Amino acid sequence: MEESLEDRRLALAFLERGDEGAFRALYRRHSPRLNQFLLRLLGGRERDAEDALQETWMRAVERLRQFRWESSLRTWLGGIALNCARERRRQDEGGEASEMGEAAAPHVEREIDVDRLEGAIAGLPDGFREVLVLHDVEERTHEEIAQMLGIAVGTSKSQLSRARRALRVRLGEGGHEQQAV
Amino acid sequence: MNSKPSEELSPQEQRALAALPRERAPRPELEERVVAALQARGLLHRHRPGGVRRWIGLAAGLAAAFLLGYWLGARREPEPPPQPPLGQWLLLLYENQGPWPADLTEADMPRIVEEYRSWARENAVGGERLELRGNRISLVAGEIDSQIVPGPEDALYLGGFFVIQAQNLEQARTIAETCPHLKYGGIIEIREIADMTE
Repeated sequence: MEESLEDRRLALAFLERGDEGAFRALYRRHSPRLNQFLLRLLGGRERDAEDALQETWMRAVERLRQFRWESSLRTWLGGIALNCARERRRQDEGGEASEMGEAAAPHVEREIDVDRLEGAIAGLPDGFREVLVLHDVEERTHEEIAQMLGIAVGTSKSQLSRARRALRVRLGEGGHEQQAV
Repeated sequence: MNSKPSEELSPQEQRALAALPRERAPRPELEERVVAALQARGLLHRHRPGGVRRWIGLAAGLAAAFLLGYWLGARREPEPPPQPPLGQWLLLLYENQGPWPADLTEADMPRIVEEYRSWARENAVGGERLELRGNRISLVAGEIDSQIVPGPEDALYLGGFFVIQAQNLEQARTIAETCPHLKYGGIIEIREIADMTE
C-alpha cells in the first residue's frame, strides 16, 4: 500500500539519519488520528490527550527500530497510544473506573446527534469506552482488540455488547449522567 | 459486529458512529514540544548529521560544469540560524574532471540537481556556484598570474561553495558527509568562517 510505503520511507530516513524533517512528516501524518483517538479514550480531556500523544511519540521513536512492519504503522502507533491513555487515566484517577449498570435499553431508532453521541461515549466507564471506540469507531477486529487489551476474544465481544447497551442507556436518558455501580 | 443479532447496531446508530470525526489536529505547539523533548533525549538531531554515504566511491569525475550550471538556479533561500551558538562553516566544493560514471547519463541530471537542491534546503544557509569559464585571474603582488587558478580543464578546481551552520568542526564534517557532492566524486574542503562581530 502506498501509504505504508511512505511511512516506511520516512521511518527509514529517520532511523538512518535522525532526520528531523522525516520525523515531522511522520508526526503530521499520524498525529491528527492519534489525537482524536486519545481524546475519545480520555473522555475529551484535551490536556491529558496532548500529554498522552507526546508520550506516544516518545515511545514510538524509542521502539521504532524494533518495529517489524508486520502491521501498519498506524495500527502500531494506536497500540502505543492506547497504553499511554490507560496509564494517563491511572495517574489521574488512581485506577480503572468501575463498570456501569446495564439496564436493558432499546436500540436507538431516531437520528442521533453527533455531539450527544460523543458525550455519551465520554461518559462510559473506561473499559466499555475502550472496546466501543476500538471496535465501533476505529474499526478494529475483536482479535486485534483482544491482543491490544490483553483479554480473550470472547471477553472483547461481551464487553462490546455491554458497552453498546450502556451507551443506549445514556442516549436514552437524553444525556443525563448515570451513576456508575 | 456482534454475534447476537439483538445487539447489532441500528442503522441510526451506525450512521451516528460513522459520522464521528476520526481526526483532530493537535495544537501546533505540541509538535515543537515533542521535537524538543526528542532532541533533549538525544533521539532526534536538529540537522541531519548522518553517517558516511555508502556511495562515496561511486564515481570519480562527474562533469561538474554541467552539474553546477543546473545547480545555480536550484539554490534555496537562506533560512535564519536556528541557534545563536552555531558558527558558520564554508564548504568548498572541488570538482574532479574525469570520465562520467558508466551508469550515469545526462538524463540523470535533473535527479542529481534535485539531490543538491534538497540537500541545500535541509542543511545550508547559503551557497553559490562559481563561474566556470573566463574571468579567472590571480593577482600576485599586482601581477596577473593566471597559472595558479585552476579551471574546468584542470584535474581539480573549485566549482562552488555552501555555507552551513554547525557548533564545531566535527558537526560540520558530519553534515558535509551527507552532501551529494561526495557521492559524485567531488571533494569538500571545510573551513570555519571567522566571527568578526563584536
